[in-house]
Amino acid sequence: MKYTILTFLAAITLFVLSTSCQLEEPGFSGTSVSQYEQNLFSRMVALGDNYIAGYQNGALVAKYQQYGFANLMALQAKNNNFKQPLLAYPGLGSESLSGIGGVLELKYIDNPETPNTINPDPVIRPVLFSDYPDFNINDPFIADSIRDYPLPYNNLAIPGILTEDILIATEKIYSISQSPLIDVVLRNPAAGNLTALQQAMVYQPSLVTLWTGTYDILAYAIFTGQGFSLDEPTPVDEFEQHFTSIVDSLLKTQAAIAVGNIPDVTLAPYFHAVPKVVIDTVTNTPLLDENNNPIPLIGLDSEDDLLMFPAKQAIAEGYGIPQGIQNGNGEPIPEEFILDAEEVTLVKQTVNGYNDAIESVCGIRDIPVVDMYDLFNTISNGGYTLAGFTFTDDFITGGFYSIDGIHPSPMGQALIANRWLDVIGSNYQASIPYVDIPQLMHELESYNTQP
Amino acid sequence: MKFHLSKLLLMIFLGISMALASGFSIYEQNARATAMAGAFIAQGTDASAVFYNPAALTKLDGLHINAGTTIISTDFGFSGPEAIEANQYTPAEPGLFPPSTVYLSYKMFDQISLGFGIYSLYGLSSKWTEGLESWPGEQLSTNAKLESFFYNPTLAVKIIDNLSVAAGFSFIQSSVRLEENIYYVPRSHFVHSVLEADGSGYGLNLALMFRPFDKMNIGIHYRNNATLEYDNGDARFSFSSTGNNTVDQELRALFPAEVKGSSELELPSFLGIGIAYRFTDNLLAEFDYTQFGWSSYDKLVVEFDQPVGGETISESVKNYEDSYSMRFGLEYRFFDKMHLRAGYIWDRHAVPEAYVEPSLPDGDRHNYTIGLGYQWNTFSLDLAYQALLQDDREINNSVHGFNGEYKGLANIFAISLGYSLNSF
Repeated sequence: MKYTILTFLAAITLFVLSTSCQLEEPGFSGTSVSQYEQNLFSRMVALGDNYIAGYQNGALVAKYQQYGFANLMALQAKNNNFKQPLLAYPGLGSESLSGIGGVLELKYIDNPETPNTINPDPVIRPVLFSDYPDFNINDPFIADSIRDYPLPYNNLAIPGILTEDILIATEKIYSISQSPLIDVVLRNPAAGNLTALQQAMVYQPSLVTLWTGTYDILAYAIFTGQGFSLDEPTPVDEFEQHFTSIVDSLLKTQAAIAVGNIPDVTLAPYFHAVPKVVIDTVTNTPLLDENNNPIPLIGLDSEDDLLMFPAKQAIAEGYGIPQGIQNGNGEPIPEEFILDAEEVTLVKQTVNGYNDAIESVCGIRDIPVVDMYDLFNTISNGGYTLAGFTFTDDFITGGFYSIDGIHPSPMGQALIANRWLDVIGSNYQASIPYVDIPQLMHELESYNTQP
Repeated sequence: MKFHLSKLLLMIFLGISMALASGFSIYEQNARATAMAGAFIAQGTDASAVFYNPAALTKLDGLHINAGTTIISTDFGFSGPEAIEANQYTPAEPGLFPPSTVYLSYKMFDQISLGFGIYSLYGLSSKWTEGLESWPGEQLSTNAKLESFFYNPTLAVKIIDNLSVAAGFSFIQSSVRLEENIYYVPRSHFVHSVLEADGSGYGLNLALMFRPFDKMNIGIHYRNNATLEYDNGDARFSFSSTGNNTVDQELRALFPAEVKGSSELELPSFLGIGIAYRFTDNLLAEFDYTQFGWSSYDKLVVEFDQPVGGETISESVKNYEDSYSMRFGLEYRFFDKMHLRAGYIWDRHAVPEAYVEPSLPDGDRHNYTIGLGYQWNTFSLDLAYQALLQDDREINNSVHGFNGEYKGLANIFAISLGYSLNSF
């Protein structure tokens, strides 16, 4: 009897152990890109200004151009031949006009020369041309094969140009914006004196991604130093007219077209990173008066006035700080570093005007619009969280913007790419895998050692 | 300069993990009870009543000892995140942990019994990767483990023949280890963070056992919401060299090799009500409703004794909800000394959809239990098997930007040995 029972127990136990449940794992072998999808992106062309050119950290440079969203999209669609005017390190950008250098780098997160700061005091500066003697401003390409590439570049976007320049500019000297990068991207007269639009059309693109108009506003809103600037943004009706001509020309090519609308540029950390109060140079925290209140900077008349990032230098020299406090010279902050409340209103109205124009021009032509306005707004209003990481508009740490405070970083570019892939996919029946942002974050780890 | 390193750190340390009953409670504390789906509050026919319903201890004469182990083998996986690739599947490492129990009961006088138990009411373990190894959810959790030990003396009093009450006190010891990877944006570099801490606290429990008529028993068991204090824990940060000295030093300054951290965890209250009915001499059935007040776990706050990434406090919102289970168990006696048991549990999730994350892939569960018991003379042996099948849980509104689908199950094997000395 006892043995029977023990045998029974053992049998049951064995049975249970051998039949215990197992998790059925779904098989997944990676997303494939169909021939149709590859064809759609095979002759992709990008047109527009800074954002779509892949301009980041204040410059155009191969290190970051490869992470421009247009290239990221092409790569996702298995197009490894998206040609860009790749520039050697340190590239050309806002600090190049004065001959200083190229791309901006974060030298220190907390300046070692001010060891007593409570808030970190980041040091951002351009990489000096003098440290890269092989870099030639007049032949900045990363390789001869790029310079001599016999076809138009797939990325024909040019940093620092106005929308009208896409239609008329063949060389810097024949442009409105006078952007020196026109010559780098268009390579005229050798390229037959064709404009960016003409080069795009003769290439017979399969897909055109167009994102233009932002610089028509930025050229007014930001401090451009020795560069080109506008006294007012390109008026909405003029923008609409140029934009319509571009779109109508592109429609003649049979290419699929996708258009980005304009973000509210006043949200960029460039307009928010510098505090509007006097900062204690020792602690890097707001200096308090005898009533423990922060001391407002001179020259800001309204709460809605925005202080631009380059104001930092003027403040360091004493501007905006009352006399008798630190090195204050009692002079107001120069107006060129302030976007005052009225100007902010004008910028926002113009953004909305452009977006209404884009919406209506594209709407009647059945061209999909990628809502970049919405993405940039999301980043600034609570942020966008992906896999535990929240992209915000915080300067340096927010993840979305590069350290120039205006243009998206590689991670921001990847978010943008995924928005475009979404819209292109749903309008042209393609389902291209998204850029794997968590993986990209690992890929970028190598950037600390690579120029 | 307006500058928020804090945002980086908001998500630090904040997972707590996989569990058995929803949330991270473990209700499988004896093989006999487990075989009956844990529907045991209205029985208490061995010393494990210390755990299930100490008021039942008055039914046990003399001295009883019961010891056992539950082997919990878990298997979980995640498909997603949707924002990148909905079908990308990552399995968690299979988990195996053995919470064990010891129970004693002794009837001092006819009306008064004493009991003592050691058990692990809370515990969890979820591991996705090791160290800095990557997986899509690494910024939420790479490894999480929590253990607890309850040292629980209890006193049961028989008030009248068919009514007993009990009160108990628990000293609770716990250890926790939470790991994740943090992305330091300014240098595009991952830092691995480990938080390890030991904690302790005190809990109280009250119970009642009532026999309205011969064939029926009703039991009630309540535990208060004890708070565990984790003081003087270690937060450790490691990263691979960036290859750039300046940057390495910067990372080290922001993420010290070791800092001290402390935290608090308010455990849920518990309420269980059971009704047992003896249909025949050989057939007994019990139905229990059990509820954990998981809404106590609304956030987890860790305080550091020096800044980490510029912040000394990290807070993460948990927003758990109260969860409940329906437990139905049957026991059939045959061959006089053998008991065949079976049961079913429906267990409702404790983590609301928006807050589900990989450290605790919580969901509604169906549990099926089966088991055998054998008694010879003063000895007893009980075995149980429980299949925990979790409904696939699709997350569409994750606050962590981690939408996707969690799958999971666990196999639970329990063994308990009992010894009783009636005329002690």
